Amino acid sequence: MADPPPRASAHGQGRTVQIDVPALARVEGEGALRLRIRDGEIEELALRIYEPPRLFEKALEGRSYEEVPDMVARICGICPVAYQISAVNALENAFGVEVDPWVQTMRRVLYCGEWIESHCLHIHLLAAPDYFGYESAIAMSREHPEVVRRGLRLQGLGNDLIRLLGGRSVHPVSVRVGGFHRAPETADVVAMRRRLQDALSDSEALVRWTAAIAVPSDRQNFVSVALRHDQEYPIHQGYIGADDGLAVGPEDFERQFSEHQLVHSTALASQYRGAGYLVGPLARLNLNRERLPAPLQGLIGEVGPSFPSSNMFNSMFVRAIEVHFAIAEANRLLEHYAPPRAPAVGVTPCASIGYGCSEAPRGLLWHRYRTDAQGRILAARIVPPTSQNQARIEEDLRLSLLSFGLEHSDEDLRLHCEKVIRNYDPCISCATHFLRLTTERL
Amino acid sequence: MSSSLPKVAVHKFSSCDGCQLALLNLGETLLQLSQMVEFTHFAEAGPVNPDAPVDIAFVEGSVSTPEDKERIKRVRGNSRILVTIGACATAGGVQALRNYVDSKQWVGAIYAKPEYVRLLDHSTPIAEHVKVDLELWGCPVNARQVTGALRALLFGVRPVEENDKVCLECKRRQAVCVMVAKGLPCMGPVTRTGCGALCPSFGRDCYACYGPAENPNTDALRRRFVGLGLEPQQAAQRFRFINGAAPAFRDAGSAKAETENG
Amino acid sequence: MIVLRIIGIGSPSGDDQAGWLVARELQRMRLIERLPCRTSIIALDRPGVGLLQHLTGVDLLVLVDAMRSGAPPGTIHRIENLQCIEPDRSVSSHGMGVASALELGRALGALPPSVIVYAIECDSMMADSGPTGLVVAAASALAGTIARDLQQKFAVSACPGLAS
Repeated sequence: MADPPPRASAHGQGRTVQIDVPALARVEGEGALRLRIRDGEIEELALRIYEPPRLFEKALEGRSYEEVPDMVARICGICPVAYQISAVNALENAFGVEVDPWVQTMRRVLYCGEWIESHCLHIHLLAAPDYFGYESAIAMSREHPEVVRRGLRLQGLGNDLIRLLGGRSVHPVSVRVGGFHRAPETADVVAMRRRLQDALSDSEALVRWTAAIAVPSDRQNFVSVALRHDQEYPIHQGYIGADDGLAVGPEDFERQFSEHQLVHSTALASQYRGAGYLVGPLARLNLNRERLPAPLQGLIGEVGPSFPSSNMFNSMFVRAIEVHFAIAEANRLLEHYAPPRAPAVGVTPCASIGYGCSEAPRGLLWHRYRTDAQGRILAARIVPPTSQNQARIEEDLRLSLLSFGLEHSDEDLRLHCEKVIRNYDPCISCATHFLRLTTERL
Repeated sequence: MSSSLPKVAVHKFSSCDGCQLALLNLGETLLQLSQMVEFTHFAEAGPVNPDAPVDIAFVEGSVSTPEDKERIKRVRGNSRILVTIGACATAGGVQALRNYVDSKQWVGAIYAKPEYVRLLDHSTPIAEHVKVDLELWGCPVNARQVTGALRALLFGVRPVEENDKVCLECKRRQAVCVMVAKGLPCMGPVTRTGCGALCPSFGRDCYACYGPAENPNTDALRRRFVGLGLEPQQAAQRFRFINGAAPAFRDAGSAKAETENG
Repeated sequence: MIVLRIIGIGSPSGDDQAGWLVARELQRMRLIERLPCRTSIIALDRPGVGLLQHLTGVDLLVLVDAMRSGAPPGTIHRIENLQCIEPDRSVSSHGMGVASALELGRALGALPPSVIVYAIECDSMMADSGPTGLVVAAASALAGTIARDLQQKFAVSACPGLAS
């Protein structure tokens, strides 16, 4: 396929704008944008996903439950921990396994590492260049070296935290049904705590820096969906909530969230009560702000916009808040670290169905497994956050362009669309493994 | 401002993106590298220019669609040196598990409109379609492999390849053998090291992220697994995983192997 | 005609690229064109005992590598008496690699009649990093030294572009 550079044509009074971005930059995975405006009306607007599907849900059939964490990690290189945790949550639900508090704590710490790594990668490498007029973080680093270096440092810290618990940062090896394969050494935990402590000044500076970035104000109507929890800011566990008061367990996910074929598109998109909905950091903060430590809520009040927010452009700030939170949270959780008697409990598989979810960096990630008596997978269903956001992204693009104004130059329109898409930090490699969608190449 | 730096491209095919992260997770080193080379095409980092001629192209991901087949030929034509990174590119990846089955059935089970999903029956490694100058195996590859290869190639040096089996790495690290001590079906004896014997150091069995080592005795290992108590089908399945479509593992993981009893 | 082979030995780790830097510099200087021998300049990544396969038919071998012996970084060593290099005392930065290879070569009678080893003292072999400025400068100087030494050896008059 010949990939033409982004181009637009315009002629005469009734301006026709056609913007084709055959390959989106600074998003994860392969996506494209197509926009056509005729006579001041949006005629066509679509985020096309052409990442080839890898059919994980079928590949899991016939595999042992013990292989599931290793396999689902391969759905995504940026958020493998999220897949592993959602999977073990679901399988432990299926087998009636109750893990002990040490495991829950360590899973939360591991996940903090992934939030830190993924959010920092997104803020600095994917999103920020747009707001400073650069094509890439590399270009940006020449004139803003301290900011980029700080982001890379924090990203590295997140990766090292994952490595501490999981052995390596991409496709960690330690997560298993029942717990972990190995507990970290106390000396290593102490060293990591020191680094987390030292990083807090960086992460607070990150929050203040993102708060000061001028972003469009674009309020829209949408339902926020995220995990909630009675005590903690939800990361690795919780019940499913929405800002209309919904509160259900993972076993009810399919009853509440269904896939429909949208009239204007051939994609099947997730819907809640007949409309698209939002998952991700903004949804999480909208629903769980009171679970953040008081000083952090204070910081939000001091420098940030007001919450709940219906402006997706606040997402970068929210990611920075979550980085700052995750560093402090991991530090807090590791304070009284002691190696456990055993890093995992025994597991007896059985024929069953299990449901599990967790909050991936990009939002709610839900798994369901049906198993046989030996614990082999008979059927799997996985719903990643980016696919849940697809309907919302397209709606956002439409509304956002209208509010931005179609009279802008083609280049400005294209950049605006890309900023909108990047607000969602889409992880396209994840999204396509499951999507019932028509993958049409442009 | 045409730069005289060597030009490097990073291309993604069908993959989880984890191998590109070997570069994106480099931190400070990424900035250093960007002063040694010009990243002409690296979509996730920013620059998009897939058809520009380059000195070195890193390719992640397997060939999964008809469009991929055309695109990889264009990449080969534009690149002086082509380096594949990761199990998807070198062996077809975990998605190559569909090569073993009637994949149209798989597509039909997941996709309501399967006729719109233009997927090839098989997920295949890059080397089945174009000449590859260097293969970096791993799932994921690690930063040292990628930066080491890049630095060596910039000097015109052929990078050294790790060929030791994981067992040797366990011995170097004085890790306890999990097959002997715990009876676990560890793939280490037939797997190339590169991870530093990570799983055995975590007390679990290796599952062959780095692909087959040289001269792997897969038959003997498969029989050993049966001896450890695995069903023949389970023993064969150990080979049919991340690098399952690699030729050395393909036979050991085949349906025929499943029926061989020890 | 004398067969001369110059081998820069290294690895991608930091100052361990010293041998490669020297090889590249010698290539840039077009040394091959200036000596009355059949000259080849190659660079190898951690060849270990595989070094031996590059020695067949060579009359004069010049090896360039990084070294750690405790001398100040940037110090240049020149070793003609291979007896000095003991395989079990790490002289080369590759530990057993080069020293073992030479020892094996000697035992097999596979070493060229003349071997000269040049080494640059390094102490920073960090993976994922380039060579330090100190070593880059030392490599450049060493390339000049090697070129001069070889010219003298073959009594070639100084050519423009080669520092004297």
